[in-house]
Amino acid sequence: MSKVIGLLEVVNDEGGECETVELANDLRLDAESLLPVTDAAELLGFITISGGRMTLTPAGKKAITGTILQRRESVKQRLMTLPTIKKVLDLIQAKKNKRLPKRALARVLSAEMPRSQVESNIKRLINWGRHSGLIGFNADTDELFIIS
Amino acid sequence: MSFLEVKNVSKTFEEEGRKYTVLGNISFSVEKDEFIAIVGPSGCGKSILLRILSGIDLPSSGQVLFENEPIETSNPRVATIFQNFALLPWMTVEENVELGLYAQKMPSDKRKITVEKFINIVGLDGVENAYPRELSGGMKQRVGIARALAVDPALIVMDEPFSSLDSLTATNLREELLLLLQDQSLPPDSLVMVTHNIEEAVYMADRIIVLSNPPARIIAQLKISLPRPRDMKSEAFVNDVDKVYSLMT
Repeated sequence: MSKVIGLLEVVNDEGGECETVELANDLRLDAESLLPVTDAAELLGFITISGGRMTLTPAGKKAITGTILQRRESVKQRLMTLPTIKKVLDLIQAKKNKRLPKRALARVLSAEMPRSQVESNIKRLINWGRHSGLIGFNADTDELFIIS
Repeated sequence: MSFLEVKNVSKTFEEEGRKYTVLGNISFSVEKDEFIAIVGPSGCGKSILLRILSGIDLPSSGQVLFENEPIETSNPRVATIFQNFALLPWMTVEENVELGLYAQKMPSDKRKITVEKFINIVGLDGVENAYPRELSGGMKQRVGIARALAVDPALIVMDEPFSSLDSLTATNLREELLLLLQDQSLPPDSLVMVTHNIEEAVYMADRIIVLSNPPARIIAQLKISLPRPRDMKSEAFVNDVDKVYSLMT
């Protein structure tokens, strides 16, 4: 998520839109490193990509405006609109102790995506959740929880 | 009286009977609320200079005055942010931030409150109990920043704080650090950052000190008076970057 926010800062510095290829050159990043970041930013609705050009959306601008806490809150609000995140929040809420074992989540996700993608998706979900203060993860018990 | 004064500092090492002078005769001052960037060729002794500022290392000659008092031992009012984060892997985020507070003999209840405050400020709440290995580089450096701020330092020294991060994460962290520094209710008063990234120095600092090849001497000091937030695309910014480059080469 730090990379996504960094990307938004860079696009904003370019006046709110820029060519993906030029940005990759400027940042000395290859496509393999940059594309997952632009994909994530697009999925979150922070940028739109069309014809090789990235444009910062109002939600993207909001994610890099204000104090650190305000920025974090903007990202959190945005995350809560994503279907997968909503589903995970529901799964955690449905648990009596409000703790969702990672392997239970993996089972649910493997019905929706190839098994090879499940682990990387959970990893990304935990990173986004932690970064925005929405979802936490306890590595000792291997459980996800909602950060109050 | 300056907040921090470096007076005729030199540093010499001896190896197999031969003497190597790393720092020549270095003198400069740091004012209150000032952000200084030190740039120079690699191996020019920038990191040693930072160690001397924080009292971890002593100069071979000359002295460093901190609020008019000579620094002769590790200075508790100086905190360091490291290139490789320097987090203890067997400790949680919370415990890593708490670490510096033990030296201050802070009572445990106050310690807990302080740790919580700074974990919140850098946006790490919810991650308190995670271990460093679970965190991205950006989050690790946030822990490093929280740990430095928690000891309420008057001065923070940073040794290439963003250079082990990828360029996008570094952009994010630079911005967040500048946001924290704008907040007058938070420490520190002043910062000294060593960097090899000229754009980073011009983007962040109030003044840039350019060092020469070893034995390092100060080639120039350049005041950066561009308004903040700085526009890296502006002509004035590019001009300042060019000025520093030409001084270094």
